[in-house]
Amino acid sequence: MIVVPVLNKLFGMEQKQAQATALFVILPISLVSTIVYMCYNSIDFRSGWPVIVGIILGGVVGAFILNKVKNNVLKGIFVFFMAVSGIVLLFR
Amino acid sequence: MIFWQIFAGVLGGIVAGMGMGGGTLTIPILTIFLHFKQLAAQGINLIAFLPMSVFALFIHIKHGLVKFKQTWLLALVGCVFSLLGALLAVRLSNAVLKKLFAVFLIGLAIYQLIVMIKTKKQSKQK
Repeated sequence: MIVVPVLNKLFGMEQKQAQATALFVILPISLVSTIVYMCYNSIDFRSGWPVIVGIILGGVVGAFILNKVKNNVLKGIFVFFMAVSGIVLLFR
Repeated sequence: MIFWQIFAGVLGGIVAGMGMGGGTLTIPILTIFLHFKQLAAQGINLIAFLPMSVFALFIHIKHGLVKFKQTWLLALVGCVFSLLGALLAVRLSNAVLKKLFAVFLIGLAIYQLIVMIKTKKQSKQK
């Protein structure tokens, strides 16, 4: 949510490239986070594996969708999720 | 039951694979509809993101959408700050952090919405 606008505005990428490249930027960051997380908490693979499988499948589908959708539509969807995330976080 | 978990993962994975935030949809679905605990949902989302992004990235690269040269340094810096952030997180109030981030997200969303509407108006006038 932060990387994409940064790539968009500071690096001058179009929405589609920004969203795709964001995945590249966030992958190592997530790896670091996951390692730290596993030091303090355990991850329940036994009850979580169906979700994990689903996420991997969905990710592939999402990647194909990203390529097909126009930039301005993507921007609208992205802004929508950003707003909803913000509102959800505010009320948790 | 397992079907719904896979389905929830697919929905969340689609959003994540499109680069719209790793747990944006996944974590709310898991916690609200499937009654996972917040920490459990975060852990599952985190670990799932690693293989998911490898596959999704592969497809993005094939479509020529990933700009490595411009961003490898950003990724590196991000890792350093992620580590610092993780060490800091135990000391700061989670509630305050959440609200601050929420305000930031909403503010940025409103700003982007205004820009979008403005550019639409301008292109219609042309």
